[in-house]
Amino acid sequence: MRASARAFPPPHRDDTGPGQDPGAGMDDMTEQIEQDRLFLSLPAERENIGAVRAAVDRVARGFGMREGARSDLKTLVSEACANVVLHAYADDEADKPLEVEMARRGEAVEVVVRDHGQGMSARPGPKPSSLRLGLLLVGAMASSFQLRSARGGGTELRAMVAFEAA
Amino acid sequence: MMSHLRAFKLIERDLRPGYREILVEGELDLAVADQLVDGLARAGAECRHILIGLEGCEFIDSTGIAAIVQAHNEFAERGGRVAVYGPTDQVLRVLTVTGLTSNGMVFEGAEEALSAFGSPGRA
Repeated sequence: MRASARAFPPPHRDDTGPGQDPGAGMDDMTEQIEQDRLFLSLPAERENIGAVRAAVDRVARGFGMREGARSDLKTLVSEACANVVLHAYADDEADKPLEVEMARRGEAVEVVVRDHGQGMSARPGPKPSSLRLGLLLVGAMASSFQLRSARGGGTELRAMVAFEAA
Repeated sequence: MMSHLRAFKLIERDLRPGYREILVEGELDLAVADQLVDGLARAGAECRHILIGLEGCEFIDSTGIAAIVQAHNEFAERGGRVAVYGPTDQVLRVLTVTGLTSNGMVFEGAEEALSAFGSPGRA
């Protein structure tokens, strides 16, 4: 899979609703749940992916999404987060934010998984077969998705998951 | 704030000489997939066939799939087999999307998986 080298806008940390402190450190997970959206920011560590799945599942349940669709959503988000953990940052980087946004769009959920790492082309990952499987799963679970990456500008996966499979 | 996650666990037992079963419990993802990789590598050194029980596996990601596929290839090189049984909904969906269900290595239950092992002539 080839990522386009389009630049994407800087993260809008200030539009995530009231109470979000743009200067907050990334050492701890921050989580905001409003009525119809979720914003999570946490260190890109493999141990944190389960917590993201749990949060996404809880919010999707609040949207009224049924178990099968929630399960697809969790699969997709998990793969996107794993990509960030494995590929976005160098091991010795101190600040490795993984951001997850989720909002209801009618009878679908839009989810955004974002990092502020080196972009997809900078460092090829050690396990291409797992990466290919991951993107295969993302494609199968999403009704549409878009991957944007810019050298030094991070990577952003934006996907829609329908309440009911088409 | 964080939900409770059921602990990931692998339970290994030898069924009969040359046959080992690994039961996967909890969520098999990037955080823990190395444990399964290690368990499968150990089994590869000690057994001819391996049975992976997924009835208690609540979630699987691509790293779990990659571990199973890699073991499948390594066992096959030595004339052994890897069979997977008892996938729950999310796990079955991922096994299907990634093509493992069409490889003849996914079974409903342990008995069916074992009987597949029981015909040495079969591919």
